[in-house]
Amino acid sequence: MEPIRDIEEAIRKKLHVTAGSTLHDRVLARIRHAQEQYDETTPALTEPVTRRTIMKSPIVKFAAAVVVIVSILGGVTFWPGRGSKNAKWWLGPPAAWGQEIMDSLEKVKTLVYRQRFVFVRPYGSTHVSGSWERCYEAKDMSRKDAYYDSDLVGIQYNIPDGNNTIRYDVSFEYQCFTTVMYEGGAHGHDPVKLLRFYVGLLDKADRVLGTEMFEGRKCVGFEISADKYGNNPKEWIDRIWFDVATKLPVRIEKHNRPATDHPEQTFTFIQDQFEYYVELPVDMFTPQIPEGFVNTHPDNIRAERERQEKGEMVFADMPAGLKDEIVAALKEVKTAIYREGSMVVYLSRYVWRQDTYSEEGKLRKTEWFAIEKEDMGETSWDFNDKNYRLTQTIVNFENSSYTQAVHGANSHPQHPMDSILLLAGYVDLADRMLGNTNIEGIECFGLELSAKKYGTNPDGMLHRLWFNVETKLPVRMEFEWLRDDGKKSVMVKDHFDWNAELPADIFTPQIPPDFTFVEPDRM
Amino acid sequence: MLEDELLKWKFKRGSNEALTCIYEKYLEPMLTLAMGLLNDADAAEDVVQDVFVSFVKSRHNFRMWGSLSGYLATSVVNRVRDHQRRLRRQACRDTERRIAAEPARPDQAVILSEQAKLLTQAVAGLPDEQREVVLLRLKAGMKFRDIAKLQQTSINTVLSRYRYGLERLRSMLDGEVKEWNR
Repeated sequence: MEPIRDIEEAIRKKLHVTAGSTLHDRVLARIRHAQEQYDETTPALTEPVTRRTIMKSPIVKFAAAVVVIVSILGGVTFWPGRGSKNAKWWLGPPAAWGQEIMDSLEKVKTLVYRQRFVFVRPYGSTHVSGSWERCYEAKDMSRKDAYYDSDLVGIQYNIPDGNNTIRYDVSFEYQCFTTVMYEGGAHGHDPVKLLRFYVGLLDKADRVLGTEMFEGRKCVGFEISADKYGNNPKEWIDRIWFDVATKLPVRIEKHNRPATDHPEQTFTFIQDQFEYYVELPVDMFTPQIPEGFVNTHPDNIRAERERQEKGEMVFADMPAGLKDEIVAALKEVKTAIYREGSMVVYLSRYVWRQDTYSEEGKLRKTEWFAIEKEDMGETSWDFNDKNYRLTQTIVNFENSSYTQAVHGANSHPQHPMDSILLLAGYVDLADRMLGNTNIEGIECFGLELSAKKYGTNPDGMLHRLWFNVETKLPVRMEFEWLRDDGKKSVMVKDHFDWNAELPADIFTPQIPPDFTFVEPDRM
Repeated sequence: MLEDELLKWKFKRGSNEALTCIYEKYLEPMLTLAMGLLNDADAAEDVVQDVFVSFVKSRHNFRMWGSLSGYLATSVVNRVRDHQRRLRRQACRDTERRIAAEPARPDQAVILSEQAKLLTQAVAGLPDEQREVVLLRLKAGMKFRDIAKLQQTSINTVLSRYRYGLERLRSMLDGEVKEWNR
């Protein structure tokens, strides 16, 4: 063994290449050149940005926090049963096998898992949030690393200090930190409290979901309404998935949670990637605050940045409840037809179609979109990102070709109703009312909404929206923005026909027999 | 770790300073890895440059799970494999020209100690898979599990490759290494 260690040491310490200054400067120059070229060719932002704002919205964060608090306070219980020797142990009564899981959990001293959000919209689209957290739990202390996509944006530490707990929040995004002391909060943190809570609930489960593969493991799922463990609406549904072999939790889903102030969507909160028995080094829980970070709350810096980026914003005095009325009316819509520029859009739940015409009125292209989900329930709480499929079929009449692409849950075209509902969700933040007018023979009220209200968008990017006074459904929607040459562009959605009777086959792709298939990226 | 996370975050937001810091920090480790895998200073420089250029171009949409060093090391290995595939394709018709090009250019600035040269040559004598495992483990600090993923094989195979690689190096270097480590 000795010589092998020598070799390892030699390669570690002696095998080293030094870059001379010529090479160093030459490669660096080429990299900088590449960067300059790349920066020049990266297209400027031309569409409204919504993603980050939605995720960073304090409202959504609050809603998420509420769910976390509910879950922690509510606790959960599992059921292991009679069937510990049975291949399908979960079919036995929980009392028979629940204790086995409890016993396993007692041995767990640390826990690592991920938590994230999926936003679910009533017309079938989903949006997996770019914000997620990796949680590290140990006895009496915890750490939560917050990410946006692959970027670490902050770390929260909960560390005992005598009989108290100190919470450190370090924000890399805003280069600041805060500390808060919770008196008497030490020595109360139990890494598996949440899991024990769910195990304890299993005898109250509404149904067994059968088996599914998650993270390469065969799991069995149980479903329980949140009203079984607290004063929660029964539409709040939780699902807990256990590894069939180890009986340890693999995935916890909390469905159909409302996003406060955003009635146009709900969200699903998912905890997964559980790791048990992980050795967590003590220094993981030593707060690290990079030099130069200021001691202030990120909200202060965020507000200042927003003020600098967006300038002052104006808000109209909107009638109370108007937003809810508009959103409620939209959510009742079964079908619709409308025009958007040179395109006619037909839609229903989970399907839509877009016909694009030339200036001469000739049909150039038809696109069909169909969403398939595990469960087509009205509330969409049966969202399961594994089984989400959106099939897009495009027929191009100009070159007699067609193609088909299949999209997953993480990235897919959005249902047209999503953008309409998104704007409806911001009606209460409108800049000003436009007064009543008659459009297409319909009495309408109008409002103007700056795109700054939902994202980091420039001045001059705004929406003008007119709604039917009676039905509260949109009649005309204008999106205006300033082009690079300073001229205004306007995209209009109009000629809305809500709940229109549509031909039965309008959402069935029709591919002419002599058309040739092309790969999606060549279309 | 924290420093790298901060560098990634700043880099993604367009910080030239962060890119320079990443470059300064990882140029030599990457060069060492590429040199160890290729035993060709010109090619190693090209590989490292390509990796950095590609890194820059992916700034707006790259998704980097795990460590920056692991990401860069994996990128180097993938580029080296591409390079070797190209070389194999060219081998028959182009051997003479390639050999003629291999001696260092006048402005070549890769500096190796005598010991490093000897080690590089010994490592070059290993089969590709063993060489990758040994260098990724010892020079890039990658976990065997991650190397197995990169090589699309089992962790046991990777452990065997590591073991065989070291045995082979030991027999090639004979008593040299013991002398250095005194």
